Amino acid sequence: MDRVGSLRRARLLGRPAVRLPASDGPPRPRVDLGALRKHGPGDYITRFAFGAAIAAAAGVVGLVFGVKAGGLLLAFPAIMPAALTLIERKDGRDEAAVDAIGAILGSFGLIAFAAVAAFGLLHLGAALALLLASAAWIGVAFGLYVWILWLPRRRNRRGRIARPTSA
Amino acid sequence: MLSDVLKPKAFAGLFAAAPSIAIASLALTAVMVGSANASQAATSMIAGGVGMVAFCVVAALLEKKAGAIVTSGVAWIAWAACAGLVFWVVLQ
Repeated sequence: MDRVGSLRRARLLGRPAVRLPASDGPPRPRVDLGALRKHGPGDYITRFAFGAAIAAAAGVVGLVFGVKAGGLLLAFPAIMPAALTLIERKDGRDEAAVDAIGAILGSFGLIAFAAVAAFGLLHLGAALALLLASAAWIGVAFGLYVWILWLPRRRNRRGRIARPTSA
Repeated sequence: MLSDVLKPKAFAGLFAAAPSIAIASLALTAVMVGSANASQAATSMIAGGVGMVAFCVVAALLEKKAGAIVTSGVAWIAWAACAGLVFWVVLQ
């Protein structure tokens, strides 16, 4: 009943209903430096190695097949598999799945980054184009996070608090 | 590192799709072979971005049941299929 109600409420608000496990905590972003201790240097070296390998592969593909084919690899999910494996090992599969949900929103930001960069690199300088493209990634990714994951959960919490306990 | 220190995990996940490699590669391409070529690379990257959405959707759906290794393999196939399709149909 509650799920039907929340889905209907989400549809009325024009927002998709995304249910995250309660273990993910409140949606307000915060920094937890203690989490760095969970991962050893090897974990970070693995991720950097994946990233460097893909950057090199994109360069080689660009040289052999042209920049268009090389550009395709600029959005290759190189770090995601390593991140999923590490999160699964340290925090469990639920947390890894939640990380992937966040990455979906980041991916839409990646499309915005590419579109702005493609336009800006032709009409503006490279530095300004990449700066604007980065701003587009931040705007789209953070905007979608607030719209889809943060505000609906905050509204639901307020609704629960405001619900009368007796008629 | 950002995705480790940021909470909640859904927010940290945004940074798994950050264009960190793309910024460096596009800057290098622009300096070495010109902005027009870098723009072409960025246009192709839109197709890769669509593939990335597919990768993450498959990962979010499969991870709980199949684990990270199987999920990554299947999601990579989804990336290649979607990115390739958009590249050939729309951008080529």
